[in-house]
Amino acid sequence: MTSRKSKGSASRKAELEKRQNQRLEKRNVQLVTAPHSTDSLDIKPKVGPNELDEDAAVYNKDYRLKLANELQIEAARVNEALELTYQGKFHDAIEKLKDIPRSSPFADWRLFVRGLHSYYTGDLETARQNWNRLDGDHRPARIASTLLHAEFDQPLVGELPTPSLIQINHARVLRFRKEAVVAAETIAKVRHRDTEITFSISQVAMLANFFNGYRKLDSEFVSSVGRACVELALAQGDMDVFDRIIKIVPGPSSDPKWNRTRLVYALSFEDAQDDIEEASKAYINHDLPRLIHLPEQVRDALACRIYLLCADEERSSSDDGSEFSFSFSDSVPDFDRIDELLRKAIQKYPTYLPAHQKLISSLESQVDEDDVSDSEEEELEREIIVAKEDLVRSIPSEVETSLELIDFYLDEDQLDKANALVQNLSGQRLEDPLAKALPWKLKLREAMRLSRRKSDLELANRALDEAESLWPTWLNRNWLAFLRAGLALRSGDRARFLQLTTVARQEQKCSDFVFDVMTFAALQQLNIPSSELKPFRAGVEGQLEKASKIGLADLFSLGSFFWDLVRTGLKHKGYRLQASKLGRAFADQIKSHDNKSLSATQIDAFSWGAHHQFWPLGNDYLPTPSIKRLALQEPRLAAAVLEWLVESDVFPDDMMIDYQPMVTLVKEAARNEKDAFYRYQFDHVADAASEIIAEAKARDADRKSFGSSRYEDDNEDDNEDEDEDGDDGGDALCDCPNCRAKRARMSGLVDVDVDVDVDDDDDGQGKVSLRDLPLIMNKVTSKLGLKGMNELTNITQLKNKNASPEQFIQKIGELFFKYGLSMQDTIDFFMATQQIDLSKGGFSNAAYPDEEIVSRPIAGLTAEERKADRKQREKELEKKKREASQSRSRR
Amino acid sequence: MSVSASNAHQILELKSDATAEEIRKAYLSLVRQHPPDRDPDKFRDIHAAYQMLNDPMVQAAALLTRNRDKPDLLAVIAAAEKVRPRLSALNLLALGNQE
Repeated sequence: MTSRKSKGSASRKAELEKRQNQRLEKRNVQLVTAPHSTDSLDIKPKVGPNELDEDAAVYNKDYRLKLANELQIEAARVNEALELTYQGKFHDAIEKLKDIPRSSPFADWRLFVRGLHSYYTGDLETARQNWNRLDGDHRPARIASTLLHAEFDQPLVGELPTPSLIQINHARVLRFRKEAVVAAETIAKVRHRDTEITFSISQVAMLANFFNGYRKLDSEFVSSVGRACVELALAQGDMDVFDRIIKIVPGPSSDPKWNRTRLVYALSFEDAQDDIEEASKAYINHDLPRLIHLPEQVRDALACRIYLLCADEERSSSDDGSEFSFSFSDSVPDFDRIDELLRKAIQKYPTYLPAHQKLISSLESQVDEDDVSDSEEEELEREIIVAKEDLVRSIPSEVETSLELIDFYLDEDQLDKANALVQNLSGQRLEDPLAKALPWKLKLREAMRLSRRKSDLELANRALDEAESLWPTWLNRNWLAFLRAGLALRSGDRARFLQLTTVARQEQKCSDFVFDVMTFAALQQLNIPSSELKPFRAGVEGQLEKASKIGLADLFSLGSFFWDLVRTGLKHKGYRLQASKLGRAFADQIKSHDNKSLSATQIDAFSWGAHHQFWPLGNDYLPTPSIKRLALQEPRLAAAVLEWLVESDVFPDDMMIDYQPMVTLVKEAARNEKDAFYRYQFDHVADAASEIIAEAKARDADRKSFGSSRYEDDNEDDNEDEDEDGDDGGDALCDCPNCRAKRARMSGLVDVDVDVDVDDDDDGQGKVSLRDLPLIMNKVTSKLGLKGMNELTNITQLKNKNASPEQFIQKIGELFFKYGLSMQDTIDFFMATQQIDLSKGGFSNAAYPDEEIVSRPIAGLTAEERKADRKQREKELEKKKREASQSRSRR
Repeated sequence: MSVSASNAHQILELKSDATAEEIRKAYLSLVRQHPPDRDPDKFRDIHAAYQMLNDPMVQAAALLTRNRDKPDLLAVIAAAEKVRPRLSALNLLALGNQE
C-alpha cells in the first residue's frame, strides 16, 4: 500500500515553515539575485561599415543571397556549426566545416570553430594558438579577441584586433555563470527544521529570482535546476508549494503545463479528488491534443490510462483506505462515475484488455451489492454481457471472455452468436486447450439442448456421438456413459438406462454416493423431468445432509469429477449447492489426511478445491507444510497451490516471493507435461505468479532504497536469532510465535509509520506504546494460531462496510475471547494498534528513524530497567513539550 | 531473462526517460552486437524489449510513472561546474560587432 498524505496537514506544516522562514526569505532571495545585468545577451550581430559580405552572410540572409550558390551553402554551414557549438556538439560542428577549402572566404570560420572547441573545454592555450592565425579583418578574429580579453583581463599579445571595452563586457557575461552556480547552490543548501519538508515556499521565491536572473544566460542549466527543484517539491506532501513552483519552471515537452505530473502527484494524497479531476481534464482535453510530437496512439494510451487512474481513485476514495483501520467510511462508491470513466478509457484505447476487465469487474461487483433490486440486477447482467461483447469485438483473441460468452449464448439458445465466436476462436490457432475443445463442447451442449424435446432425442444421440468423437484427450471420459444413460431415460427406456448405468458403475468401481452424484449431474443436464429426477435428487441431498461423514476417498473422486465440470464449464444446476457442501467437508477432512503421496484423481480434487478457494483449510491463507512439501515434488499440485494463492483475496502478494521454487518447478514442468490442459495451465499460472513476485520484489527494492526491506541482507539474516523483530515475513509455513508475528506484520496488521508519544505510568505495565507492540503481537498470534490469525485478517481485510466501529471492535473482542485472550490483552492490542497509522507500510526502523524498535518486552524488564526506561521517556516527553512551546512562542 | 516493462530499458542499456530516437539507436546498436544467428537468446531479449518500449501503452505508463532517474539538484549543480558556459550563435557573433 502506498503512503498517502493528507493535503490539510501538509499545508499546515508548510504554513508553519513559511512563517519560520519569513525573516530569512528576503535575505535568501537576495542571495540568488543576479548581480549583473544580462542585457548584453539581447545584443544581436550587426553588419559593420567595413564588414565583409561573406562574414555578414553567416548571420544575415540578405547578404547570403548576394553570394554565389557554393558560398551560400558554406555560410549556412558556418551558422549551423556555431549553433552546434552552443549545444556542446563540437565534433559535429568541426565535421560540418571540414569540406570548406583553405581558399574559401569562410576558411577562417573553420579555424575559429576549432579554437572555440579548445576555449570551451578550458584549453585556452590551444585556443589562442588557433585564433592567432586568424585574419584580423574578419569577424572571427574580432570574436576570438573579445573572448580572450574577457578571459585574461589584459590586452593580448599578437595580431588579434583589440576589442572595445563594451564588447569585452559583453563577453564577461559568461562569467556570471559561476554566480548562477553559486545561486543554485544557495537554493539547494537551505535546511529545513521539519525533516518532511524537502522544498519550502521560501525556496520557491529564491527559485523565481534565480530564473529571472539567469534564464537568459544559460537556459539549459536554469531549466535543469528548475526540474530538479520540482522533483524535490514532489518528494513532500505539499500541493501548494508544487503549484507555486510549476508557475516558474517550464514543463517537459510531454507535459508542458505540468498537468500530468500534478495528476500523478495528487493521487498520492487522500483528499485531492478535485485536484485529480482538474488536472486530468486539463491534460486530456487541453494538453494532449497539442502534443503532436507524441504519436497519436501514445496520446490515446495516455488518456486511457489517466481515465483508469481516475476510476481507481474514485473507487478507492470510498474505501476507508487502510487494511486495518478504525475510521469507517459510510460512503458508497459512485458506480455511475466509475463506469463512465472506465467506458471513456475503453473508448480511447479499445484494445487495452485491463480497461475492459475493470469495467466488467465493476459491473459484477454492483450485482453483488446487497441493495440491488431484481430489475437493477437484470439491467446490470445485460450491461455485463454488452461489456464482454465489446471486449471480444475489440480483442478477438481474448479466450477467457469468449468462452464465457459462448456459455452464455448456449444457455440462452443464441446458437448463431455462439457459433460465430467458436468460428472466430478456432480460426486463431490458440494455445488454450479449452478454446481448442470448443467444437466438442458445442456438440455436447447441442445434445443437452436437443434433449429438451422428445422428438429431437435421435438428433441428441447423434450430437452426443459426434461429441464422443471430438472428446478432448486431456478430459476423463467417465461421464460419457452417464450421459448416454441419461438420454435413454429421457426417451423413456428405463431398462436401457439401468443397463448402461450398471455397466458404468462396474467399469468405474465408484461408491454409491459418487455414482449418484454423477448420475444426477448427467440427468439434470439432459432435462429429465423433475418428477423423474426427484428420487435421484433426494438420494444425493440426503447424503449431503451428512456431508461430514462422507469418506475422503469419495470426496477425492467427486472433487476430480467436479474439477472436470468446472474447467469445461459444464456445471449442472445443482452444482453450486453440492459443491459448497462437499467443499467444506473436503477442506475439513483434508486436515487430518496424511498426504504422503497423491494420485492424479486426488490432485484433480485439489485443483478443484484451489479453484473455489476452499482448499485446503477453509479460511487459512497458507497451504499446510505437508502440501507445500508435496507440491515441490508434484507440478500439478504446485500449479493448484499457485493458482489458489494468485487468486486469493487474503494472501499477501509480498509472501508470494516465498513460493519462487514452486513457480520455477511449474515453469520447467510446462516443457515436458504431456497433458495439454495442464501444460497450458502451468505456463499460465507460473506467469501470473512470476508477475506478482516481480512486483513484490520491485516494492521490496523501493522499500530498500528508503532503508527498509522485507528481506534484509545476508548479514542481518545471520543475526536473526538476536533480533526477533527483523523486517522479514518469517517462514511462511512455520507455526512458531515469532514467524506468526512476522506474518501478521507482513499481512498489514501491525504496520507502523508514525512517531508516537511515549507514555508510561509508574508500574511500567499499564499503558501501552509502540515499544510494547512486539510483545502484544507475539501474545496475540501465539494464542490465535494460524486459524485465528486468518479470522482476524478476514475481519480486518474484508472490511465490512456496514459495520460500525463499535461492531467491528466487538467482532475482534469476540474473536480474542474465543481464543482465550483476556480483556486486558484485547485492550492492549487496541491501544497498541489504534494509535498508529496502519494505512502506511513497513514495520521498520526506517519508517520512524527516531524510534528504535525494542525487541525486549517492557513487561519483562527489571524494576531498575523500567525506572531507567521511564526516565528516558520522561526526558523525551519533556523535550518534545519544550520544542512545542518554543514553536508556539515563535509564532 | 524474461522481458517486462520494468526491465526493458535495462536490457537496451537505456535510462528510463529515453526518447523514441534513443531507443531506436540503442536497439540497432545492440542488434549489431548480438545478431540472431550468433546470440539468439540475447537477440530475442533485445527484440522483445524494443517491442515492449514501442508499445504505446508501455510508453504511456512510463510517462505516467515518476521518473526513477529523477534529476538531483546537487548533481545538476556539480555537472554545471564541470563545463564552461557557452554562448548562443547570435550572442557569439555579436561579440564581433564593430563598435
